[in-house]
Amino acid sequence: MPKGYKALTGILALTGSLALLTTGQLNPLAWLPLPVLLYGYLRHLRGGRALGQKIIGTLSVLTVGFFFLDAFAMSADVLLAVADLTILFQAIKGFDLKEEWDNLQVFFMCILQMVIASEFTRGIAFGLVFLVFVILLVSAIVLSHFLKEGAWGKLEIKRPVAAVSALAVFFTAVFFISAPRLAGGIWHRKPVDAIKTVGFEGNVDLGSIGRLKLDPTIVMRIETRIKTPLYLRGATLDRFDGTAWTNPEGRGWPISGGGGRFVINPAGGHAVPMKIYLEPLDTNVLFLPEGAVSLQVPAHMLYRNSSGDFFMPERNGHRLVYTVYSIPGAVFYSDVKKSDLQLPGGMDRLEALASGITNGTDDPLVKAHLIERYLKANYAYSLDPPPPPPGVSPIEDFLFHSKKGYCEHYATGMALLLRAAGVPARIVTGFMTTEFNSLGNYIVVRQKDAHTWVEAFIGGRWMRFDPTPAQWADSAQGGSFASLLFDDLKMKWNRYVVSFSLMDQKLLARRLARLPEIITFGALPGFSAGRAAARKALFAIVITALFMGLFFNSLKRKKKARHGVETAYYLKLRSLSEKLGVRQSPSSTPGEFLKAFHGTGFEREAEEFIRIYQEARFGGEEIEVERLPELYAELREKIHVFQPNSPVSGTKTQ
Amino acid sequence: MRPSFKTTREGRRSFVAMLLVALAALNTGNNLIYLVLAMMASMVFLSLVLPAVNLRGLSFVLKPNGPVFARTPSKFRIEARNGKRLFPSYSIRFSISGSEARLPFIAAGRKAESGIAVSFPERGPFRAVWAGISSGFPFIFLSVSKKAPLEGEFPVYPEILDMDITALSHSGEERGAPSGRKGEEPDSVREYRPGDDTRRISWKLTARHRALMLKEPSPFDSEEKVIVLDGTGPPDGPAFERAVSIAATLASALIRKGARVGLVTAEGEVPCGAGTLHLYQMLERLAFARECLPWSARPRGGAILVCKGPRSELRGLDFKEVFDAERV
Repeated sequence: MPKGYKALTGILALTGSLALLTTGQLNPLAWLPLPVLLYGYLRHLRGGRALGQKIIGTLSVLTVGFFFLDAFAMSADVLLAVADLTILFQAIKGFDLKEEWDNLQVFFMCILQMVIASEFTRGIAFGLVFLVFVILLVSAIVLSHFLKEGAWGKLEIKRPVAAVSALAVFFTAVFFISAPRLAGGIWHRKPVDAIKTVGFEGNVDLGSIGRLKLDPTIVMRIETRIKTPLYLRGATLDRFDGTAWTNPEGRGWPISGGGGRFVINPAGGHAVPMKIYLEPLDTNVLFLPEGAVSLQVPAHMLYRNSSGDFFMPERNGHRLVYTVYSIPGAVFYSDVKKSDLQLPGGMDRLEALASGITNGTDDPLVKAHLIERYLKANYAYSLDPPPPPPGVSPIEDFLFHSKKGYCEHYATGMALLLRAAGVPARIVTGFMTTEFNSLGNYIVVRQKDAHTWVEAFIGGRWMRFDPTPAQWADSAQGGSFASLLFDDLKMKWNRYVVSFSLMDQKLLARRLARLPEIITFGALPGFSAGRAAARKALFAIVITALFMGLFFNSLKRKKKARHGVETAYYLKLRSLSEKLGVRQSPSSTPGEFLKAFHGTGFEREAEEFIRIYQEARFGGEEIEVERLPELYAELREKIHVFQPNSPVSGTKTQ
Repeated sequence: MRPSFKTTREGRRSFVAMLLVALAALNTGNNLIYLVLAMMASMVFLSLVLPAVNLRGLSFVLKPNGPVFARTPSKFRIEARNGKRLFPSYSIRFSISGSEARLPFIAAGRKAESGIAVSFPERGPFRAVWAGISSGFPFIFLSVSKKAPLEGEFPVYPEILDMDITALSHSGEERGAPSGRKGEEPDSVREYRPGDDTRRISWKLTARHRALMLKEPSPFDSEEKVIVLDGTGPPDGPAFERAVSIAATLASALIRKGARVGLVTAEGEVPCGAGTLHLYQMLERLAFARECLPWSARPRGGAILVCKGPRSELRGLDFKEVFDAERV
């Protein structure tokens, strides 16, 4: 067996095993067979002989025993145990490669490893490994073909191997796009660990969001035309007990939507779509931009509360892709609750402070602006505020002593000051976008973009105020070219591979259906209706001609297949002979047809043609059939140079 | 000609594996499993399409390396031409009359050659029309077969039998079963017996045998032999073919022994002559000989008759030797 083939087998075994190990889901002990695997295939590459059947048999039995132990005790997960088993199999197989079929077993096992790995991870690393895997696997199978044919070493095989690999990659993409998708699977395991978040549900302790403010983990990407910073609302919290915010209403009540479409706020106007790719989070809150009017989400049911928060029915640990339609600047009127004026006990100094800031004004909007400006001007932004002294609440410490804190402190302070000033207020947790990937043209949202702001009920609607100084977001802009590129790749991987859905297939089909319009420039601006119509007509003619050509060609082929080559050429000759004036009725026999050639100057060729035709058609002789096309070509050439005024032309027969 | 497909053992196993992956993809809805499935589907698709493209536009010429005898493996050169302008052809298997040759590579628009040994079951004119070709390129899952145009025109001479003709010197005796003796030595050699002409002792053979060996005068020396192939009587294809082979064997052996040999068949006569070219003239006539034709020539007495059986119409004539295909 050639060394190149042995090496390729080893690399494939390693690739399949690494694809599993790098998912991070396997027990660290699963790395142990890797050195054995490497040694086995290197030994095989250097010409080492396969181990005896007894040793291989014993190792196989031990492996099966280990599998059961793994499945029921160690991993306690059958899929993980199977993954471990495949790595062990690949390691043992390195010492048992005797014939071609053994190598093929390694290849098949690699496919299984890729399938299992795809259940453990959704990362772009899998995509890169998979691309390498496709090229290696296809190359290996093409090489095994040449090996089987005995052509190894006799041919230049790099070119066919490269060409077939490229074709395989291309058609993999084609089949991936076109394979019919079900809306969702029947059974699958939780693919990855969800990203830990805080502050978006239930009970939110003051200061908990600060932990996120240093975490660069990407939580979502947003495709939208809007380039300005966005406030993405997550949860609304209206009850504060001095140390924690809650929303007693929780997730609210279930609502259903036809085809996954949900109305958020009925409103008219031009809605801007915003596609959000949410990473697996440990919360089921849906983040929505302000002015959101409707929502398209892969769910039949959602939960919403009276504050306008939306929740998925369950946390499934998967990436979530949804589209929100929003009208920037839209105004939605709503109601206020008693709890929006609630103040915790022991906050007597608040009213005095609020009164001092608002300076006796009665206008709630002015009050809100004054408080917002006061907080921005007199408090320092810090992600590491000093802990409050014992017996002092964090917010009291922030407002009256340390005067240092971050968005939660600012928002809580403002909400409480507004309430103390008689303006209903609440806080909202979510994200504020600060980073734009100019390569991929999308917004990147990280854990550190988690933010808290205030909503005050003024003039029958909730208005947003953000008392946090702007400097917190200044350092968040952009990144290096490499990081932008890599993130763009990850975005595209998630968008076009991991999240590719039936909806995308429908969209693609619709775009393909519009292809004629695009080709004829009908869909482009600057083309008059008349020109577009002319081009469409031209396009229709070309396409019709093409299809007719294909249709007649296929008819011709069918005719040939039905009657045989000889009849097809006989019929061609009959139509060709009309140029000579040799006219025949459809019922005339080949003999009569031949007689009609007398005096044309082509008697000899015609006689031979008819003789072969008759032998082939009626005598069952096929031996000279291939001469018919030659004769036909000769006759056609001669007839084309035939001069109608020559003496021959005067001897036309009936 | 439409190609036909045959799956290999590896192919069948791959299809089963693909079905399982398809089930896993449908079950989980996991796009990454769909990706693995798409890869497998692309390999199956290429297994179907590429071999068909690979076999398209190929034509072949079969050229014999020497004379071709029926039921005898003969060597041929296959000249393959790839009519495709862009795509080369790989791993082509060419088959004719149960023999197979391999052409590992035929460049686009170019020719390639290979050798093949073919045994044709019947004598006669061979005019090739189609040859079977197949290829499994680029994978090992499927083999695609189709017919490709084949050129090649040559006579297939009758089979040369392994039979004893030494006793032809015994005039008037009807030939029975062959003696079965074989060897390098001519049958006209025997041990010296007292009274024999000492001038006919072969000293070369004597030295080899360590006994005085005598070379009998060849019955064919300075004689003209005419072989008459008789296809008359009730139709009996196999017997006639046997008779043709006997006639070819006789002609070949007699010419090799230096005799001047002529041939009479129902189609006509090849006058007496000697040498290899003359032999092939007679073999060609025998290759095309047909049974049950009425005689147009009157065979001379004293010639060698090769007939199908006892009901031959020419058995009554005065032949020096009679070879009956039923008994030889």
